[in-house]
Amino acid sequence: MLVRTGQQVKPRDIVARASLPQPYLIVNVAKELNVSRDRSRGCMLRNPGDRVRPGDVLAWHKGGFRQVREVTSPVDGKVIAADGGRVIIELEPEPFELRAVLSGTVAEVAPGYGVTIETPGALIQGVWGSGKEGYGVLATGVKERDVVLDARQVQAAHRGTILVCGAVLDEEVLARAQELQVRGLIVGGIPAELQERVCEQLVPVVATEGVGRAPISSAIFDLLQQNQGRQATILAVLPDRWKPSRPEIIIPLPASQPADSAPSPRRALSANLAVRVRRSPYWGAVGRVKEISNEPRAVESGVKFRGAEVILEDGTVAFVPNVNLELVT
Amino acid sequence: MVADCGSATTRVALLDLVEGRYRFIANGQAPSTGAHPLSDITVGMINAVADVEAATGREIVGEQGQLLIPSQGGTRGVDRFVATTSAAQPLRTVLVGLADQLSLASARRVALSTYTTIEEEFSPADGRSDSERVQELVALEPDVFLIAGGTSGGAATNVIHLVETVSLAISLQDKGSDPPTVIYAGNPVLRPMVAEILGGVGLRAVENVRPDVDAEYLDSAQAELDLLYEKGKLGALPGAEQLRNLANGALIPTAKAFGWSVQYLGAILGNNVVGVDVGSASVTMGAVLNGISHLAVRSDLGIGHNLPKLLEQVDSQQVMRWLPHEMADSDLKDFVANKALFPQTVPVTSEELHLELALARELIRSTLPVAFPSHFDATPTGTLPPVEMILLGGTLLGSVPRPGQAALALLDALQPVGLCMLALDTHGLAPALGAVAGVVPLAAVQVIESGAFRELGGVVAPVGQAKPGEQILRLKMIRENGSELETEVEAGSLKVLPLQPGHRAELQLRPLKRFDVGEGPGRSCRRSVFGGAVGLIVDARGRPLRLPTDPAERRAKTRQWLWDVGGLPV
Repeated sequence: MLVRTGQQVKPRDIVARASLPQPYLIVNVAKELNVSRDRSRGCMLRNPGDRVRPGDVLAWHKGGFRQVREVTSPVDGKVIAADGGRVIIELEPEPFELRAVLSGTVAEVAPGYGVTIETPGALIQGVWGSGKEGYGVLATGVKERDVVLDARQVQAAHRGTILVCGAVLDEEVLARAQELQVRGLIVGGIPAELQERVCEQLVPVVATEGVGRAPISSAIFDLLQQNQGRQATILAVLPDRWKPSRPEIIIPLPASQPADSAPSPRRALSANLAVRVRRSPYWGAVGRVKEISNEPRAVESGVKFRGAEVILEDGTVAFVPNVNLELVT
Repeated sequence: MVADCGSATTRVALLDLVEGRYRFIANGQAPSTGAHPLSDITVGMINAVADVEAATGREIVGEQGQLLIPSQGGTRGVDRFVATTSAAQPLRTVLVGLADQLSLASARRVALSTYTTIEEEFSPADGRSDSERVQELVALEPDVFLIAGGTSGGAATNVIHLVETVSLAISLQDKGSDPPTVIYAGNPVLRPMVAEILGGVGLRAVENVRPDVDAEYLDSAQAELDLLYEKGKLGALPGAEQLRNLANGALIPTAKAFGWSVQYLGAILGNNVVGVDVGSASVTMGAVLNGISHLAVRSDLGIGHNLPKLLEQVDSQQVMRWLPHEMADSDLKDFVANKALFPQTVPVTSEELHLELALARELIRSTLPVAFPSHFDATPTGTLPPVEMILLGGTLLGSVPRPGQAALALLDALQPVGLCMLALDTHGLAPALGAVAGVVPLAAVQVIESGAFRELGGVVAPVGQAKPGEQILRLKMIRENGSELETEVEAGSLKVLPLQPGHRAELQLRPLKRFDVGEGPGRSCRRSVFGGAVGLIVDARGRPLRLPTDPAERRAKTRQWLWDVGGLPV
């Protein structure tokens, strides 16, 4: 760990260094020397902990007619075990540097694990991430939240930025972003057929709404537009139902007032709360709860659900099952 | 009060004594809360109980948000609380065996008996080098290694080599991670050697799953795996301890309890019974076939969290063949991915309801061959063996607006033959009743007998060879009031004859063209049937069911069948 609690960090700062574990190689010494396992013990020339290079002799055996057989290491690495007729070599570990990715203050250092960095700012939680992270200046490539960015609009000026791409990620935009070293992409939706490819690319991608084509919700789009030109961090965490983290975009802002405390996840749905619809036919729409219905009501499919009357942004009033609503704060 | 806390939805139900007999009173449901951000499975359970309070006027939750147990007076609290759950993480299991069709096949069946995911399989013939095996095993970090192989007193060298590989991988695992358990279910003669090689690793030696090439013994290994799941994973579910305390120490895996419920039904009916439960993160199939109980859990498939895994196993066209409307391949894939991101959401449009039911069909079809392989392979048509009742459960199927939709999904997916009865677990009671049976057996029996499950109706499914439109069956239905209905059934048709729920009728079946209605080719029979919410369904579409190859024709056919069973609005 290279930082201490209370230290100010910038996105490029290295906060920790580590060695990433590498593959193991098993060399079957007994077989190669043509001796029994027990006998191979006396043939070993290396002990656990020894460093070896390609060609270094691991074990040898003097056979009949003064014939000497040797077994050499094919790789660079460290001997983990030399027993049971086998030598196990761990390949040279790969150095790894953990960067802060975010401007802020180190709030906590967890030795051997990581650091917690605190910053006042705006936090946007997305729905899907490509498994990478990055930082850069926030740029919006589209003027409307429901349009799709054309690859020709991705230009040299976008190098190093986190680019807002509109309702859906286009394959050509992804390629162009990769080529121009764009530091991150924010979209409303990601086509399912593109997910695997996006995960293979270096550029982090966060979808704010889900999979398919979906306009970025107005609350998120407005926030992104307002903060164009600011430094932002994109943490495109891959969804994992067993892990609490979600893909996020963090925009550090000057602290003019204490941050609002995080809304309680136990807060119940009630009138006037801002909500986002998570399912067709109003998928991605944002609105405000008009009234909660205590009795289950039949929807178009005929299924009955408990739900709420929601006034959507375009003025439409729709009955939406509670479980298809998400609170927006 | 019974509760089943699923991965996506928690369902509760109140059972009470009415005129001296236990009955289902009311139910409720709410999104499950075992995962982030609430991380307490009891929150969703209490939310679901609020539905029951609203429906009954009974105060069940106290001011501090706790369940009121025992009951206080006639209208406060409940006397007992029984809980089941499927919300915990499955056991991550690695299977190690000698032969794919023998020891590994048995190990697979062991793993299917509870909530496990098979992370990888290893065998001497897997084409990997020792280094590759160790590398993969270290990276996998499973909860359990299930090692099988070697008949009793048989193969030794290969088994020992595999154990050494596993031992080496465990020794190289990250010391900060939880150490795995090794279940050794191979050649018993080697147990001392296996124990010595594994040293300090948690070893559970159980009966050989394949003591002989022709013999299979799964119970011992299944019981051990079950125990590991209940102690390890179930206990680690946030809020599980509280739930367990409320339930007097018994928190039961949903699949296990569902299996008990199916066993109970089998005992009550004295015949073959199959139950299917399509959950968000798992599909469970329980059965009693020829007096033997079966239970299979696919923890890698489900209608919510694990839906994308379905499309890794079946082509999207397989799903879309059940749809009455057109759909683009990319839209289906987008839908599936979104459903996994938001598994608690429900279908609002008819298109999405039909789509979820199409996906449910394929989930069931993917589970069937692995659930009862010996019975499945034995049938001439590759379908389910004859059963008296099929019980269908799960939040989606239990909540369909038209019973015909569930019935058709079930007929398409399982394709039963002969005569059987279809029942739908609309209140999500099946797992709970299985659990109740262990606490108050009389309550389970009486609630089942009082109609806990919605009877969809009887099914007659003749099997044979004929051209579409040819007459294959003469059917006469004599109702209890004496009224009669006579009809002729054509090959390829799907008919519903009116027979109300709870009403009984005598059926006289005269197969033509050597068709079989369960008594043998061409043999006539008289049988009693009960009606249901759909009626008496005569499914003469053939087994296995063949759909038109032309997409437009197929959609029209699907729509027609939905109409026939009352699955479309009038």
